[in-house]
Amino acid sequence: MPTFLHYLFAGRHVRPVTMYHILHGKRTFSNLYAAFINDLLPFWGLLPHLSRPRYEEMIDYLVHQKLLTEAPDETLTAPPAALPAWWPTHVAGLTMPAYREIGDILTLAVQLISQVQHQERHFAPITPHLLIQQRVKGWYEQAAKTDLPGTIAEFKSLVTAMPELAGTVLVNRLVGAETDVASWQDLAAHLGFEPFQVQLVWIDALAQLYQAIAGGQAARWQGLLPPPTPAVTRSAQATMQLLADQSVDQTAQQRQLAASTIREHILEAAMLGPAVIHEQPGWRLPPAKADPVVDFFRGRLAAIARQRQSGGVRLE
Amino acid sequence: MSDDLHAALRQHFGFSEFRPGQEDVIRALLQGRNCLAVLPTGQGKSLTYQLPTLLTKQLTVVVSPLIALMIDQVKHLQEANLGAAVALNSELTWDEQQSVLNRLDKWRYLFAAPETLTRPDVVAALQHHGVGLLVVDEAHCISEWGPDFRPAFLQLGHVLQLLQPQRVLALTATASPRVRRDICRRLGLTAANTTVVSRSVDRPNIWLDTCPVTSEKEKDTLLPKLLAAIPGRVIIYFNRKQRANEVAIALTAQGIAVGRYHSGLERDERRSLQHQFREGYIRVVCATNAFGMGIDQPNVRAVIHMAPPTSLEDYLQAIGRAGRDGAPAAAITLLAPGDIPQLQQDAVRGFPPASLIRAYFHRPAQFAKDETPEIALLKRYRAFADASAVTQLLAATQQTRQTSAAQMVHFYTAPDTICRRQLVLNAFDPEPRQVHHTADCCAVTTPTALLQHLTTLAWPADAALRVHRPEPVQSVAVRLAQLF
Repeated sequence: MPTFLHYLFAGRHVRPVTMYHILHGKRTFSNLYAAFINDLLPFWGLLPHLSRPRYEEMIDYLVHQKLLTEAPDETLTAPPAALPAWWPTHVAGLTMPAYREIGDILTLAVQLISQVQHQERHFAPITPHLLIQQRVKGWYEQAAKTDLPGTIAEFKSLVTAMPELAGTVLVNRLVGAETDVASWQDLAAHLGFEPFQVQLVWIDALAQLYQAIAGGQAARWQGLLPPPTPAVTRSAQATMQLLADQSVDQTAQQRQLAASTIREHILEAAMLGPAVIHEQPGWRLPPAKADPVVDFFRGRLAAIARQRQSGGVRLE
Repeated sequence: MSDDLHAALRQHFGFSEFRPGQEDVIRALLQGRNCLAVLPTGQGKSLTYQLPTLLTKQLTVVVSPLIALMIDQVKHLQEANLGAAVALNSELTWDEQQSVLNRLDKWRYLFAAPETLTRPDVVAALQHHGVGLLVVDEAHCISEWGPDFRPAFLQLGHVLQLLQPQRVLALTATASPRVRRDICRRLGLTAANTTVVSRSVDRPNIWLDTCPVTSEKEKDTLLPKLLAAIPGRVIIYFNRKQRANEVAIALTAQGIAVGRYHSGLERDERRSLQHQFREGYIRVVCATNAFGMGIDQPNVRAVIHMAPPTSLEDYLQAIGRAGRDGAPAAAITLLAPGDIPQLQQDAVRGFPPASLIRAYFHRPAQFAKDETPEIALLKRYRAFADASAVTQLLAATQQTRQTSAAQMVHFYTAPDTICRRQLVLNAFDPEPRQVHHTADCCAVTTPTALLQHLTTLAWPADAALRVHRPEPVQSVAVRLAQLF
């Protein structure tokens, strides 16, 4: 884990507490902006169970080892470094349901099909989550039961198309009739990784599988997993719709929100929405240098546009 | 009724006979009486509430102290198809918990920790639906005179008054006479409405051995020899997770099929380990005391303690996992010179002094970020009592821990001529029988004598395991073929 953190900070300037919130997925505007501007959005919510004391312990270690250095603005940084041999490339925290939820759903679906295939009618579901049990049961009745061989074939096709490392970790973390999960330690020993790295491989493999299914590569499995979540919140979307025809102040009045909140919605849509956003005359913002707060907003909006046009961020 | 009961036993569980005490408990419950059942480990305590539930078709609420224990029990009920079961705990989201409470008619068994059961929404839902049977599992946790005391159990008496279940069953494997009285008092079980079913804690097929060694290193050297001398499954208990890991790695390197079990395991890993142990792919489990509750493996041939447990209750619970099939089994403790002082130190560790209790209760907000064990303990107690009551409770608990540790120390250090089995029976049986001590009863041995004695035990013929553990990690193709 310290190695992973070191690479996350390499070439970036992020306050340690902000990095923790990004990995935890604590959604505030400032955390989102820090993640966006540092190209950390893919890692959003990657480690929701990471405890703060453990994180701080690792940060202290990295600082003590002089692998991270503290800048005067209290951010931490490290010299840019080439990425290690394996690095997550499919994770997309903001637009995916929680990895643990996807993992639980997928594992239970495979367990159910496996038990049915082995004629075991009574078994204990691997997850205690009742909503997940209901979802999987509903999916099985509607989509899988009528064509079990086809459902299995689609799954096999998806997994065998994955890189060997991702496929190996993914299938060995599944359970079924007479099939036990391989522990993180066993997988780590087998692959020559640290257990934490194996967990990252698993998360990235889940993300890859999720994206393949959401992209229509396995029609029978599409109804199993929750749909992608829009990165832009509904509230920000509503704001952007209104701003197509009216000013920031009118929108704030109509929505009974502060103008600053409306401006944050614009920045959120600019960061996470489908298109690059520039200031529009219809927003009727005060002229430059008339209001330093609005100028600050303009600066951020321009920085976001530059970052997106440079191709650094891809969300939808 | 006896014939009906036996028919139900056969139909639902496939057994032709009850184990000692089971039928008495079930009969009392079906007659509408409450019951305190003190049955030794391995005597099928769970069946005493499962069968009445199946017969009465009413909701049974089981109060259980550990999430892992609840999960094991729910899993067992699901696999055995004994009725819909759910554990209402923090593993479920709030929405999921509400869906359970809104549709209690869907469930036959509801497991909950005492902390959950005291929640107003839970109480209201159960009051509305009605409770047929309320089971307090591991009921000794209700008594501050027991070493596993949990403050939330103190609330159960009040909850029982609110819920008015038709019957109450208090279950425990080990309870001294004082703890039994405490259980009855706190749950409002009176002689007029309660049947007490009690069986001796004695497990005569388990040979009890204490083996003093000179060092931890000697334990490590001796352990593989013991495993070679004991055919079949063995559970090895440690008091530190790291030590369990180290020994497991060393044994694996010697070609022994070993699994590791501790509280840090994930849900599916725990399930896998239990399955592999059951199927014989794993012969030895290196575990902390998190392993065992809910484990019902009949043919464990030995339990080895690499460090002494903290109380005689814990010792009995642990060794009770051996020899459930009635065939000869061994309970061995390897005792190094540092073990007894460590046990005594552990008994006093983690208790806050009175001054800290007062300071905490005076300004709890000041300790919000304090994560020391002492403050963590006080945070748990604060929900149930004020500073004065907590001071008294903790003093009683600390005294109990120290007494328990002293009892354990006496068990290990008493003169060799003292029968260890008699010590156990004297501690827990209200009317202990006089043990006829023989070589097959118990002993304090040297390592050489221990190894020699193990060769004389009449191990069952099928004890040796021949099944090879499959590779834990497989290729994608092999794994997919196995799954489907």
